[in-house]
Amino acid sequence: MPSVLRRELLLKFQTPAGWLYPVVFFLMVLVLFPLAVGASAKLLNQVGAAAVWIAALLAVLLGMESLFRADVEDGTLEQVVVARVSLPLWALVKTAVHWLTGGLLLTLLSCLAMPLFGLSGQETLVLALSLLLGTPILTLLAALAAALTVTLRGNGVLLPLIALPLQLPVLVFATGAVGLARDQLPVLPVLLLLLGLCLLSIIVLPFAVAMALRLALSN
Amino acid sequence: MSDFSATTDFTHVPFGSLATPMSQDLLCVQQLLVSRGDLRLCENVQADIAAGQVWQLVGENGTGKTSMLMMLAGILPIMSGKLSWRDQSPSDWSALYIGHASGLNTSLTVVDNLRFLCGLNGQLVTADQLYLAIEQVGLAGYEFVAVARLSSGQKRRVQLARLWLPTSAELWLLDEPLTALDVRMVCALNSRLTQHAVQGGRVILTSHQSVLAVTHHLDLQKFRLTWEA
Repeated sequence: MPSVLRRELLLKFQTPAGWLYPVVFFLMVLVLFPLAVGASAKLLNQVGAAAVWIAALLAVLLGMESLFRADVEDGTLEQVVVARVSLPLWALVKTAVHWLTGGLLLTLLSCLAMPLFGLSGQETLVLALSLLLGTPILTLLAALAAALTVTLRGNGVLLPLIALPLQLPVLVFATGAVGLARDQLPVLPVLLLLLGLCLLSIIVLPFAVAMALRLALSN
Repeated sequence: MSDFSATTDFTHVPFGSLATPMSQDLLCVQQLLVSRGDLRLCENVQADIAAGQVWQLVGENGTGKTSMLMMLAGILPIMSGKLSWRDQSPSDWSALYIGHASGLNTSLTVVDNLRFLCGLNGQLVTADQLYLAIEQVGLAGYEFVAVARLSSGQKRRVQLARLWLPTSAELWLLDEPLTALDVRMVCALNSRLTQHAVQGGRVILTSHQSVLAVTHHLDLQKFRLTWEA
């Protein structure tokens, strides 16, 4: 496994354009949204969390298409299978490194919502926490969709169609948490629910991804 | 599989230990159905592959040579028939598989690719061994060049460099290893395969050319399933 981790980090380091693009997209939406909405501070404050989350959701989807594509096409996946490396673990490591250069960066950047949307400190904290717990779920669900569509041409169209319905609950809960924080209501239950979902997806989804990848190999 | 403790004694037999009776150490292909997805290609394929043998799978395009190799490597599932070696099935035994797809990432260097493949297989390889293997396949000076910048023959050589690295895999599965290779590299490969066989390893390869090192042929054409209306 260390060699897998090393390779993934090396690849991210050598091809920064691939993972920087979604991050820059996220940043652009964050900056442009307040400009487009105008000077209404109240309105901005209300839509802030939703805007950040929708931007995060789309940014996560943006980079996922190529997650397994290269490894399936160049035969790396075959070598992983022949080496008797645990396929779920391999998929988890790959997705985790992808999250480090995606979801984690989005979480850090979401702090910009404080000045841009005029969110309070506590709202920003809840927003960042919800992204920290929510983006791993989004990434793993999108990884499942990516694995299911990896052998198809033009999977960029199908991937969001498969992933989005599964990701919707996360969006609802997370933006709900920020809404609760705005109304000075306890947010801990919702955040704990997100934490539970996050842990569940880390445990369960790699196995589903591995099964989808095996299917891709046998065709 | 079930009685694993009894089989572990056999799994680390060192090369050259031809002392074990050949009959006990056969890789058996029994009534194998070679299929890919829902496409049935060959049926009732039979072969007994002993240590020290180099087998070549022959047959026209689309007979299932690559699919059979992938089954031996444990990549494709076995639908019907049996593959067994030392009471293990393909998904348990260790093999060195060099496939049609290179297994090399084009944006990584030659060294990084080989290091990853060795690490994946749990091979401990020193930097010196790595450079020596790269030199032996005639790629000295290309160690830190991205694979994307190599010619197709050179890419094939990078794949084959794994054969010159210390490996614990006795079974080598090579899919069209001669493609894009020049005459000199073909000679070097032949002698490496012979050397591996002499040391008690076994090789199964596919090729449309005649390969000097080959000791046995398996003609898949004979087992081919014809399309019925």
